[in-house]
Amino acid sequence: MLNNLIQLSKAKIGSWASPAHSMKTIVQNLAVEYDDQGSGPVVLMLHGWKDSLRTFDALIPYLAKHRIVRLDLPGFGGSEMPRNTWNIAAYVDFVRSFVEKMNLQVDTIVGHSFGGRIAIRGVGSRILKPKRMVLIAAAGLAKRRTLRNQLLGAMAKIGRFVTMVPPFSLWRNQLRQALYESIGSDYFTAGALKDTFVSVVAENLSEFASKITVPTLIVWGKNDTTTPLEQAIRIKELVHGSTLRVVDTAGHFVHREMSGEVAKSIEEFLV
Amino acid sequence: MKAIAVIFGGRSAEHDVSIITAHIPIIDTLLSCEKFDVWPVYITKEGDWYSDKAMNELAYFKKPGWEERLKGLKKVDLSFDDGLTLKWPGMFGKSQKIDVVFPSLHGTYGEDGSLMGLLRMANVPFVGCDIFGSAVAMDKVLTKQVIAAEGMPVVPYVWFLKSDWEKEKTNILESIKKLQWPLFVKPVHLGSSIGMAKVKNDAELENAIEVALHYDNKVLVEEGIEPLIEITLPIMGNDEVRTANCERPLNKTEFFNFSDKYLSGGKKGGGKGANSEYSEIPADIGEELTREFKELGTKVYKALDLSGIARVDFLMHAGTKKIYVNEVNTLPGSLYHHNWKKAGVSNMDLVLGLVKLAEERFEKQKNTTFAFQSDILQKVGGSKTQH
Repeated sequence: MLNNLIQLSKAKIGSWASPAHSMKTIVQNLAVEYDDQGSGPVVLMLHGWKDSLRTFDALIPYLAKHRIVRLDLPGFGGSEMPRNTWNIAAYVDFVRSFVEKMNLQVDTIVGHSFGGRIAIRGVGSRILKPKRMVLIAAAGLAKRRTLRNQLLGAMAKIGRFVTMVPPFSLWRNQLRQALYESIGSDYFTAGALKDTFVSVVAENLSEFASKITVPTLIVWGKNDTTTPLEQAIRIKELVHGSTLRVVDTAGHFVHREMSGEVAKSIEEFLV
Repeated sequence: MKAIAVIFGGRSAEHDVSIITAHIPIIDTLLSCEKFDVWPVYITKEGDWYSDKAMNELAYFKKPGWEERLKGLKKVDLSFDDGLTLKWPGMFGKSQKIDVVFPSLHGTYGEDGSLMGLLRMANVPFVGCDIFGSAVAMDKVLTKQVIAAEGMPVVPYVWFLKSDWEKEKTNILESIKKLQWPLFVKPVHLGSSIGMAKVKNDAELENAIEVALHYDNKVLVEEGIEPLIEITLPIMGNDEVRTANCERPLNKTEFFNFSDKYLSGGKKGGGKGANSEYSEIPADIGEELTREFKELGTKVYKALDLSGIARVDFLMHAGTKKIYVNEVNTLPGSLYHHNWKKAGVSNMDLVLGLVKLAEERFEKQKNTTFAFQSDILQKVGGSKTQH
């Protein structure tokens, strides 16, 4: 069954090879790239950190009964950088403006990872008002810092002083990179979005998750190491009446790795 | 050995494309001919200037964290004392006299004549078009106005400034609606299809104008030709010009957007530079039309006072075969070396030929009289306070 689904997914992607070109519009004085395909109830898709609207490509052919609107969030893909440091609330406000500009009646919001953060905060605060929500490996519900990360954090502080003096200063960047890579943090590669990254990951969204009242589907890869499965269980506990689907062989990019299976879960949820 | 500075990057939406053009084919060729001491000069998106020989490698701009490392370098200063000199300040500062410059900047603050003005002030020979042709070609409306005034055909269009749009939107929309749809909306100063859109209805038109005005203060709305054949023609030379092949870009999708033009072509192309995979060279349009395009292209080159190298883009109605001059590009991406190669001009001939043309133009300008002896200062009265 699963193999059949994968085959089907490949075939459909094949025929999908040249999708309609992305379009541009201006929202909050930023040029934004977006994609608007199909007709039916509106599904708004929000991608993850350092990702783009293309991350959902493989899901689209399965959701033929819907109008799928996807955008590149500011700082990613073909959209412009935010002009200052943004937090999650700023991204939520941006998505609200986008929805207004496009005059959309959103039926469902789908958020992956960082896009999930935006969805949780936006829907929990009722700034975004979809009828339903799908959270795919959504971030924002991490436990408090583990002992290991606390130690690494302390090392970073010590390192900052030590690498001010030569000859250690010569290796400052390499040492920092090694440290951040060992934490599994995107901070070092966040470039112009470094401060935004810090502000985004600092916020725990439990409070907003507990205020969500719309039907919510949670989709997670069992082998996810970026947002481990325990975070899915926390969301399930916090979001009243939510459903959790765990995909056995997938990691953080479950919607790309097992697109057929994920699409099927979403399709069933949307019916 | 002559010192040559290749200047690239810049405060432009085409910053990254410029890095590619500088390396493929310019720096690669200059290094392999072993006749030049090549100084790569990189301008950041913020307008900071750096120069380091390590930047002669394209790989420098691909390594993770390169922008961070750049900040550890000393910025380079320019000195105009008897030509152009690069100067790195500091206790162990050094300097490097430059004999000739190869500008490799696309778009604003580079291809638009700004850099050419700077290099004229420095009194150093430089490759490519001079300030006047560059400035006119950078403005799609000015280009059309000059071309039309010289009796050459352009498609009907409407242009306006941001302030016009804010004040008299209804009037502008009225005149736009008289054009034949579909329409193309373009920021007038931007290249590489940035901020450009093809529109088929009113809603799309207003959104496209809003997007175009986000990138530029001046917008052009022009008629789309359908069915369309696009032809682009690279030309090089000063007084005597040489044309490459008429090239027909074959668009996979209805509209060639930025990523089609540069990214998808580049992905497959590997070392082929900033240009397209999908084109027909020479275009299969028959001898007569080919000759017509080449004659018209040469006329445009002269009308805009271009020199060194440029590329003229045309539109042709596939049915009636009516030809229109559309745009002029004074620094074709990667010099369109793929096309020149098919016209029998190797990278070596192309790059070194352009350097030679730059030196010839410079020598010629030396012989033009710019200063006059006059006694006007002696004749003029003193300042009013003396009276």
